Amino acid sequence: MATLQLEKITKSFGPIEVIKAVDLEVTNGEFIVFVGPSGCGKSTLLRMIAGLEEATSGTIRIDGEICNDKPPKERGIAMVFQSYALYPHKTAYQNMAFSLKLSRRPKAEIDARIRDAARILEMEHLLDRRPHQLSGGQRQRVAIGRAIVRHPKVFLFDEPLSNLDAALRVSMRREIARLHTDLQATMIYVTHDQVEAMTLADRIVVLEGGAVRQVGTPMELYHHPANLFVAGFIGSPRMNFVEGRIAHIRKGGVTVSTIDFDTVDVPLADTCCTRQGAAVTLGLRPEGFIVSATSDVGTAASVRLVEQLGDETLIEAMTAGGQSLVVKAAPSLNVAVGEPINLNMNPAELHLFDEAGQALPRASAKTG
Amino acid sequence: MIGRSILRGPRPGEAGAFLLVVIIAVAVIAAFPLFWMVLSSLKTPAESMQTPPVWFPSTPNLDAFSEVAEVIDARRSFLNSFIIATTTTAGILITSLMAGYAFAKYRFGGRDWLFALVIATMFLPPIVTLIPLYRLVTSMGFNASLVGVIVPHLANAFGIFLMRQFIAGVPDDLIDAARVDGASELRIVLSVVAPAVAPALAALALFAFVYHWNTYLWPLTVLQGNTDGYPIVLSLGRLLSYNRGAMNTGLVMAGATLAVLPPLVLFVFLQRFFVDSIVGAGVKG
Repeated sequence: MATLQLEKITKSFGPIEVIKAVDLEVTNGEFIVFVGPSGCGKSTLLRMIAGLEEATSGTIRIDGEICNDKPPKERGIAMVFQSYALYPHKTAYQNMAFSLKLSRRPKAEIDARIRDAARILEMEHLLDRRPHQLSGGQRQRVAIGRAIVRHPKVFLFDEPLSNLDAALRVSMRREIARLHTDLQATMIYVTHDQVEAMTLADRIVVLEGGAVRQVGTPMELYHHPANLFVAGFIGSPRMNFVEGRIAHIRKGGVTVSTIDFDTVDVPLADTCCTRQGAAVTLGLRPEGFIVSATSDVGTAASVRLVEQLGDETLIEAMTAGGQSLVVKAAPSLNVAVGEPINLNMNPAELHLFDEAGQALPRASAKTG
Repeated sequence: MIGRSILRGPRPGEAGAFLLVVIIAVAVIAAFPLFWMVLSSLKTPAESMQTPPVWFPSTPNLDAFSEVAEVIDARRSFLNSFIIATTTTAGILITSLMAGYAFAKYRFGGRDWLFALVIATMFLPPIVTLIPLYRLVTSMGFNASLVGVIVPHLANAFGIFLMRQFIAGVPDDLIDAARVDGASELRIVLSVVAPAVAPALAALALFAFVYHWNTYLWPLTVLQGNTDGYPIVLSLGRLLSYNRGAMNTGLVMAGATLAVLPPLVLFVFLQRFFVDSIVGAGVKG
């Protein structure tokens, strides 16, 4: 277990700055997930922590010690790669033993550590097999085992489940969560899959264009996204956005005028940053709509697509003004493509973003 | 049609049969001199000079082989050939692996230009570099010695090219994993990269060994009549001059048969890697 601090970390390839002054503090035993779209710099940031890429500027501290100039082996980290990166000519046992042999550990200790890791990962029967004799999930287990035997201060995972099929990804995700509970180790995990991020993380770091857009617990990010990017990125299906203008400022909220939803009252914790007439964006998650196929109250829309998932139904609807919205409805709602429905916004679920895309403080205080 | 049958494996048919005949014909033509050499070495001196030629010896005998040992110091010559071929091959494997790794996996200024320069040396005919290389070796005090024969060939542009192509195909993650595991760059080359490109290394070893076993002009130039240092290929020349009076073709053929044995045995053992890597060189990197 260890702490990790990133202070004003930047990385440039020639004139292109791919990581922009990232600050982050990770506490002992915390599970941090870096999430963001492809090319946002999350893997580069992880590789800089590992010592596989050099930071252009800034400081990396592991357990309080500056590590910028230390090679990977001296940082006390272990890394699990997306491609598993197992040595093809070595057995699972030899793969796990390689780092310990290099650090000249006694044979008995090496064996004990490998057996222990194999027991934790329930892979004792795989130790004599070479990587080509293992399935994808088994290879990933060996890769994780190779990290465990080193007793690292920090575990680094670089999209470790991306090469697995959907079912295996779910089971391996649970295993990693269990592993974190068992080992209580500091873990940094990179993924572009927000379900992995939401289910595994103590805190999520959302990155876009090499910059941190928000750091918080999964529920903080879901219920209080700091900006439009995070609001759109976290949550599946993604949040719906409706453009509007502030028509009226009152105590405890504002009234926003929109094309399709006429005027919408949005409760806010603080209205000091708003001004009448300002362009804003309303945000509402699919479950924040009240959908009716019979009532005349609300905004009329026509059904474009129906996805019945069993426990809920997702409907893609188009308003008269041409706004496409994804709404979540009860499975009992029986609508077909082309039929009309009526949509009402639940004010308690509304998010409001200013012209710069920054969230205005919500009145409701739902957190994780 | 023919192309498809090659790609998909053996298929009986007219095209396939024709192709088989062509392949057999080419193989027979290529193997005939070797076959003739072995047969002639087993003939009596009279049989080997007969016109029209005798195809098969009436009483095959090994007399010519024992005579080879009388004319030249075969043991010494084989030892010299072995020292030259193995040392040069080992040197080429090491330098090609290291340089190939650097060219394939390191990012440094001028890398591509430097690699192009290395490749360019492959196109220089050996005769062009013979005199400058000889002067260089002489200035280093290595002339008339085995060291002089070996040293200039410890690195080889083709080997570097071959290794670079194969090492480029080794995933970067594998090398990064070894770095995280605490391996030094040398350890990575030896324990991670080398096993990953083992077939290519085997092919290069075969190339290098056969080439330097058979090399004639360079040892002849450097050794300058120091017959103690002669490899078997140079010593065979003495069989030819010895033969001038006796007209004993069998003697020369026996010497040649002996000389060709070590690379032939090596080829039999390594030919699978050889074919794999030459085919692979076209699609990797």
